[in-house]
Amino acid sequence: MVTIVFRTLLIYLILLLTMRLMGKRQIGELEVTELVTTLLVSEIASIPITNQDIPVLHAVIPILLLLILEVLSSWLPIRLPFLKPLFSPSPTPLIRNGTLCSEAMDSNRLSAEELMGEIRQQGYSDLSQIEEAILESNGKVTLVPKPDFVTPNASQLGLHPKDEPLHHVVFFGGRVSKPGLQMIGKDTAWFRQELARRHYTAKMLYCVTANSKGELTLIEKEKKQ
Amino acid sequence: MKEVLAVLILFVLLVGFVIWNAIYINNVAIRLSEAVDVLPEITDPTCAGAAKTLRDEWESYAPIVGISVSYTIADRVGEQIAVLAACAACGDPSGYASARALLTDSLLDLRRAEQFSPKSLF
Repeated sequence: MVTIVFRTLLIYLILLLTMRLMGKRQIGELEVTELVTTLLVSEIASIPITNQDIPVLHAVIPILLLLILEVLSSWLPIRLPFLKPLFSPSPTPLIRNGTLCSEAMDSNRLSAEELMGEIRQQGYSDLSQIEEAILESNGKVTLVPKPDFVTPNASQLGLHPKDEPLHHVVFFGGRVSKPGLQMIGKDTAWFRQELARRHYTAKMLYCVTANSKGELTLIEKEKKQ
Repeated sequence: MKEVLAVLILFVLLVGFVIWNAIYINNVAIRLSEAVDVLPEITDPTCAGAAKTLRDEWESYAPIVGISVSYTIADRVGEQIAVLAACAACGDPSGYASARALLTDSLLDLRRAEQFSPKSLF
């Protein structure tokens, strides 16, 4: 088992280094360490399932060790910033001030067609509409359009829409959700009072959402035909 | 921060358990190897009794050994001890000698399973 611990550490470090060297494109939506952990855990977990000669501890110990490594690898870069490049690549500008950074494209092995695909997927038709494009550490591309192509918001149009606080689920599955009520600063007594005021009972309802202004959205159960 | 502390405690417990387990398995392998080394020859009337004692000793260790050692290795040790005891009981000198030699080798494998060395790493 001692060998298994050291092998787990060794393979973890090798995979981490490999994924870092492969670059951000291979990562997808996960951070490097998350991808490595996911790959290893799924492989290790299946071993004692398919091979009964191997004790379950031979999977449990490496999985626990990977959990420890995952938590430490996310915490250490915060406490020791100089370690950050080891665990996570830095975001890379691909377009800066409207100009394509060809060196950054080459170093990340990203072609113009791939970048255009990202631009189209985010609703823009051309490179010329983009002011900044950043390849994030998780492999996703963030686009900041040029001012002419920015969708205006309410304040830019001189509008003053109503303040709409977020709705939270306060009732579902026949039960009052206390965390939901806490989020809006209300309690169960208030909820029951509101239901009574609207001539509803809990049995009639499928789901209820509410916001901090006390506005409720009541969704009734489907009536059986 | 709480998760980091919990994880560090888990790490210490994990390392502690792994080290304890390595020491335990090593000690079991050494004790059994020493017992095999001092086994009397087949011509000795106490031979069968000594082999049976060895088997009983292994059976007392087997449940804990089996938790962390691969069943292939643990089963092989058990089988070799059973063959040794059977050969001692029926007075088969070549079988006894062969089982003794194979058991010594199996116990070496048992130690190797829990030993750390650069060779075992690769």
